[in-house]
Amino acid sequence: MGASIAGLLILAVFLASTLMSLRTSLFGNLQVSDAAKASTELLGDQVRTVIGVTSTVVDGVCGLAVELENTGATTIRRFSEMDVIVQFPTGINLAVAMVYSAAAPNVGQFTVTTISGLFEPGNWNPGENLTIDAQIPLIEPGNGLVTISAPNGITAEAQFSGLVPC
Amino acid sequence: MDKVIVTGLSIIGSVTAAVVVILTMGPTIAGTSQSFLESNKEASNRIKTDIEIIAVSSDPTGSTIDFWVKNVGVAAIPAVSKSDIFVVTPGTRFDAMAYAPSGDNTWIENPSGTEWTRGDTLHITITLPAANPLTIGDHMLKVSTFNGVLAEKAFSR
Repeated sequence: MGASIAGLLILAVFLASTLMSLRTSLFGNLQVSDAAKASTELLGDQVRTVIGVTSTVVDGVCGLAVELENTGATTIRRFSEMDVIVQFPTGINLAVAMVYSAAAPNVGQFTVTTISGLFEPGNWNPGENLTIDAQIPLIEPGNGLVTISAPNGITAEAQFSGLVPC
Repeated sequence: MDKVIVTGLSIIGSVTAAVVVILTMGPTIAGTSQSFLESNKEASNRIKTDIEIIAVSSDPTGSTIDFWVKNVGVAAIPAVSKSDIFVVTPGTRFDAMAYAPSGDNTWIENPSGTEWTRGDTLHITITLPAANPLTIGDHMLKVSTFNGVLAEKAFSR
């Protein structure tokens, strides 16, 4: 009788500890696999994203229009999470990150003005061109480099020249 | 009567043994489970963390470096100040920058105290000693988050 009870108790302890370990292992693996899934999706998105600058146009003062083409396989949205960074290899102009504006940009801001293509207005689909207008804060006339980053960190760069302070 | 006593004693003995086993194994299993969960949580956080250096620019003297680094992962990155930043010039410099608002070999985010959530780009300024600025040539910037996720970018001055 005593041996049976002891056996049952030990079996119960064994089962409880096994269940506890399994539960922990399952939760842990779920946590890691969820993270891996999310990270892989993001990585896939980055791999499929390619953007390139097709032209830069200076408007005579501090306005810079950059036309980009989406040559990748993903649609780009969330333009407020894009980065436009301007730097000047010479002179006293400062490197600056432009701030997104949904309306017409002031000095130090950029906006997305046009997206070619009629499919899904407001989204930058593969094969479409997007134009960014920026008003660059300058101390002196300068030539520089503009870096544009998609929301997922994929970048494109182009040089420009002939900008004059507003 | 004897049998009843023996049975009773063996029941008490077995229950005591089982309780001892539970009391010794229970905390061990609970502790191990907790460690496993914590370690998985850290691993998943690290998997979800990713950064990308977008642009690097140095001033004309080479003593100040501005760069922009984007959170391109899934998770928000806390404790920006616990990030590690290294400026490397192959063969001549491998300097770790300290987090401070001013001083030689320091870095600070602009504006200070900025949160670094998903999709956000941090502007970081590095100050090098005026007596030992960046030389003309190629350099490397390495940034590591608090949990060891690394991004690096080559640039030239």
